[in-house]
Amino acid sequence: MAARNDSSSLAAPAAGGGSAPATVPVLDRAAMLEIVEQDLELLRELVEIFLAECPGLLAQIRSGVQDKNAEHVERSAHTLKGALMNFGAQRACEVARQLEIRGREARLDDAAQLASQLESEVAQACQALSDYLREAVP
Amino acid sequence: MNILVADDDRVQSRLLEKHLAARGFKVQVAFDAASAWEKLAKVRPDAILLDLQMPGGTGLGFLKKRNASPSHRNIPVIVITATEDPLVLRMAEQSGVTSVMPKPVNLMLLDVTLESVRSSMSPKPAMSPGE
Repeated sequence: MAARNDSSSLAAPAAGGGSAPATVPVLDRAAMLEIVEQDLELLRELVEIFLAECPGLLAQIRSGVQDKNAEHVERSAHTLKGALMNFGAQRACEVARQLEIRGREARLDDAAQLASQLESEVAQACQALSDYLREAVP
Repeated sequence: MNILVADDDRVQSRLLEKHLAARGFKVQVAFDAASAWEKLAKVRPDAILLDLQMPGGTGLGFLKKRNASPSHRNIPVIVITATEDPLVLRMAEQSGVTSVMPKPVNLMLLDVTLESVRSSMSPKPAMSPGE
């Protein structure tokens, strides 16, 4: 099934003090549809894979932060960032990127705060993806 | 033409698998570096799409092993990565890869690169004993 030509993006509500500016969209629909070549069935399948993988990756990040395991944080945040990129989930992607950098540089001072923010951004991205699919694939 | 996709990101792997299969490629997927190496021996791919950060060994480690193997060093590798670490990117570029592409992957560019690999393909060398 091909996507309709919808280039709109879903902007996030203003977030206080976060790493991703509020002007960055939760979901860049145009980018997402370009990546799946307008194939909504493929998009649905990829979203299902993402929704299944996401809790495990967030749990790995949480445990890496708790254990102060910088390498673990870097690797899990990197994998999650890569998956988020496929959906144009820019806000969540930016926070994952910040966490990946913290892990790489072994600077985990504010990692717990970033991990919480990431969970919130990912939840918004998942909701936006579900909403879009419900809207676009009746 | 056989392609081995080595990437722990299930979303990216499925996207590549579906895209390539629709273009007539036979695709094998590995979700970590160790199983990518195992599949390399079994599948004898014509090209490898390689992520750099995977569990069970990095993509750079995979490239080092591949470069040391007479049977595998000529298999073209296209690195597809979300890494922004300049050192890692430079090391990948210096490992004899065909191309380094950032994520999210530009599928049109990937098609062009694979077409170029296909057109430069030569007969496969015989496997060395033990590999």
